[in-house]
Amino acid sequence: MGLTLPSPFRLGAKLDRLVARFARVCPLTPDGQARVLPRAIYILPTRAGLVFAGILLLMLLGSLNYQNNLGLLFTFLTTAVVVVSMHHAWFNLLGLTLSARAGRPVFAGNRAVFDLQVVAETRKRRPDLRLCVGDQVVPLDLEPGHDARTSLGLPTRRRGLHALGRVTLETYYPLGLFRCWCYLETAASVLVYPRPADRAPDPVPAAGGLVDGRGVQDPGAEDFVGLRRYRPGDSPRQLDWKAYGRGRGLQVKQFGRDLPDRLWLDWDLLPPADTETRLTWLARQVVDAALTEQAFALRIPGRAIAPGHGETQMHRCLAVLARFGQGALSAQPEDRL
Amino acid sequence: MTAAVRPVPAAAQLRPGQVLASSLLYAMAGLNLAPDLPLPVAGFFYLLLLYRVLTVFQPRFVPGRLILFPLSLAAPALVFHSYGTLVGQEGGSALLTLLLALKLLEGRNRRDLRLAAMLFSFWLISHFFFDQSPGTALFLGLLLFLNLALLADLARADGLPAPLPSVIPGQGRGLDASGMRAFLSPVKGPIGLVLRLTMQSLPLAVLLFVLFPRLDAPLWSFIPVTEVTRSGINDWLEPGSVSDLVLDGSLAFRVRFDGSIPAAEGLYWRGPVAWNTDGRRWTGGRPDQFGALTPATVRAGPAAQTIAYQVTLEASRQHWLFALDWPVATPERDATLTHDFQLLAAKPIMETRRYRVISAATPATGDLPAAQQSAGLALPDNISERMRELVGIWQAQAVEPEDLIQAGLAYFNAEPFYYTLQPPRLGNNAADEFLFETRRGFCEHYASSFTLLMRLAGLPARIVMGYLGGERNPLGDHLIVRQSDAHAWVEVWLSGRGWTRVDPTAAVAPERIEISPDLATLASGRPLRLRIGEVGAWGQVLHGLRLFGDALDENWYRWVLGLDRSRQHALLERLGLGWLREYGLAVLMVMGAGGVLGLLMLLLRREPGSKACDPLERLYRRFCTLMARAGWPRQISEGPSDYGQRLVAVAPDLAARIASFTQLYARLHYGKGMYDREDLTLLRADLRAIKAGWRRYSTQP
Repeated sequence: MGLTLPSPFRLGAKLDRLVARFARVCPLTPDGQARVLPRAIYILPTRAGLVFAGILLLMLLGSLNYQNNLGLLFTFLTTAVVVVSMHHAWFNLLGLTLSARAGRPVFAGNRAVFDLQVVAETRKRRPDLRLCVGDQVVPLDLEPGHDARTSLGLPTRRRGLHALGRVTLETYYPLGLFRCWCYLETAASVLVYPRPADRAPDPVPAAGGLVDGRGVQDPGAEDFVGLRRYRPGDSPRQLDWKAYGRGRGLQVKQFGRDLPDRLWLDWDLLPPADTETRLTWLARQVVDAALTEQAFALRIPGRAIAPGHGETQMHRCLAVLARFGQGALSAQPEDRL
Repeated sequence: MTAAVRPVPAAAQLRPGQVLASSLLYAMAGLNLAPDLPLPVAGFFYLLLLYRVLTVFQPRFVPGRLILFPLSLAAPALVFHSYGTLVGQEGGSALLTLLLALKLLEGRNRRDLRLAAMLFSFWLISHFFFDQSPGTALFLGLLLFLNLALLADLARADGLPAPLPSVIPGQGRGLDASGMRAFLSPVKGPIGLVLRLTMQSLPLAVLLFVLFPRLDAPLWSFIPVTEVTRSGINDWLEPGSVSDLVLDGSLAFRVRFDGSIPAAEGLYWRGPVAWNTDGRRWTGGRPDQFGALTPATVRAGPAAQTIAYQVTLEASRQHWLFALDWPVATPERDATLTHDFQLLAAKPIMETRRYRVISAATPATGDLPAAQQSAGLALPDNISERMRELVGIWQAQAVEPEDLIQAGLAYFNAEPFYYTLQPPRLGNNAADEFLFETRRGFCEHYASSFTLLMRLAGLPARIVMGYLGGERNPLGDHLIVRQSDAHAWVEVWLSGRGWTRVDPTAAVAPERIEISPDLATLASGRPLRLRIGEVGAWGQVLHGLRLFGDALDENWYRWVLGLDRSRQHALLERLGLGWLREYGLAVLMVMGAGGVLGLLMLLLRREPGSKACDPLERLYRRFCTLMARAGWPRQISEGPSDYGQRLVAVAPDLAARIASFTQLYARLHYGKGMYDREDLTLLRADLRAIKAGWRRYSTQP
């Protein structure tokens, strides 16, 4: 038989996009959830549904022509089941509530994670649901009285706020002949930090000069920094054998570079480059500085972050970098210098 | 957001259980068709299905193009070999059968199997060309239902619990019990699902079935009218032609009278009328013999008392529409009434046909046209001297023409004539031998010899073939007429009365009726003429069962198979909507469908567990909305108690109310719906208090 179904379910991406443009979207309620409203549910036959409709039409014509009442009875019974299944599909979506929660910030290029929860306000089973965002499809099955939770990782390419936006909730239940769907608004967005550059220009020390013994251990460096007690796993080549011979126990010679204790990570001190490149450099500097536990401050046009250190400072600075030029600068006025 | 082509997760993977189920459905449906298929075709069909099942367990045998191509050539070749054609009702159906099996064999993914399942329903209804009995319909209906369940199963997304367990080749090879349980689960399994769907769609299906406008004539026809062996009464009569039928207990037709059923003794069901004879065989009128005679030219005056009834005639492959003596009118468009009161259909009756007739009890046949007179008096060459002498004696004694008839009947009654199913063979001059030598015969012997005697006496006479009597089925309140009721009688024209029915067989003395032992096994109603006694207790039970089956069958035809345009209109009339006509039927159907679907929506809304308005949940939702509007929305993944604690911290003076409200709600919510009216009253009171006191905590203006 030459009959094939190009795609088992969908009517085609083009029509889909057309519908999406003019579609009703279920809005957010005050508590940040979106509830599936009766008039925002769309339903169209799938390709399989269209083929089945064609077959049913053939059955109807054949039975009518040959005045075969049993054929008609079977045709009408099947047709009625198909029509009723359409209503079941509609009721499968009606009254569902979607809420979304954003995950932690990520660097551009990583996946932004969102937690999604679908709750049914009735105690009916809701089988065969699918949540679609972009090219991600997550199947869900709601048992009576339970809710369904899932996480979605969406790829990110650019820094800034990555909103989850419109989520499509669809179902092919019960016979796969209709695609029933609706668009749900969500409020969650994940902050996407600029991707740190692979290497960045060295930052400028804040007060100038090197400081007192605080530095980064770098076994490849040549400056002797000091001794510390042996820990298992230290290379034997760096053991201070002389000291061991003097009965002072096992000591390890530490080498390293001295690092400034406070850095200015300054937009204006970077070599000339476009905005995004500079942001990736700064991101690299922020991450490095935070990992080496140095104190650092950040200054970009229109915004400065007071010196600080550690992970909190890193996230604060990366957030500022992520939002740079995106009009959200006045969010934290206390950071202004 | 990127709107890229997304992978469809449910698409590809077929579960072996689905393939097995599909093959099994095809195999079962094939059982119904197999008796009508030639052996090679049926064998090929089942081999293909077996092959498909084999590939489930041994994937290395999955056929490639090199195997599929010759197989798909073999199918039409085999059909052509068996039928000599690829189209038509039988050849086309056989071809479709094989192609579907090939499609199933070729299917690799869900899409293929879904298509095979959809085409299955098309194939199923093609079975009704061959058999429309209630049993077949029930069996095929079950298969249709299971096929829908398979369709539902195929539509389920992957990554969800599989309703049918996977069979990994080389490992588990069966459907394990838990998987089977899941499949049959009334809540989650496709069977339960489709059962609910079917139940809910029955009203709509019945509505469509009853009201969907039917066609009066086919749009096209591939079915050639083939000459097949005829059953029932022939259009000719010779010794033995009726007695052959007496042991045939099969149904000839059923009759439903508008009024009460008349007495069986008067029920002469008129069929072919024989005018001409060559001395042995009697045949109907030649096309040129009666010219343009119509009932109007022979009938004089309106018939006095009429009987209206409906006949459901089994396929006879002949033109006669049997009607009660004497048919005077019929609303059927393709039926004509001839000058000798035969009701003829335009085409041979190839399938069960229902028609209405109006008959008049008293004959009003008017004048005798010249053509009828000459045909009704024509004699064959082999009239013997003995016959002439016999009639001569009667003529000498008779005063009125009626006396001649009485003389003839008296002759059959007084002389030792026997009525028997096993008459001796007769030679060339059948009438002479029967009248004077053998004197043992069946109704055709009596009718044909009596006709000859009347013609010799100068009275125009003809033979009418048909059925006599019938059995009333008390369960269906209709009359059953069987082939065993076949009969032949005589009509004689009397100048004062017109054509008059004479049944010479009835003149035979009752003690000279021979009962054949074969008749006892017939288990049908006893033919009226053969006044047979009771057939014993077991026979009675059997007979009762037959009557029950007959009633079932009659209703099946009446309500399902025979629901046609005229019946639809009769239904409209009965509803007082006759003025709606054809369009009205369509409008009524659309409106009815809308109404039924509206009711269905209400039903689905009220389905157990789907109460959108569970009072408990509604109260809590109102609470949450109230809090959210004030700026304290419930967080995702925050349970009722956590949320309550947070709110208590916000509003210490409402703490008691909030705590009692959320605690009671949580207890009832997780308590599986066991709450009563008092609980709700408590909750409502709390909610009112919270609502009143909460305003000042609102962060919103």
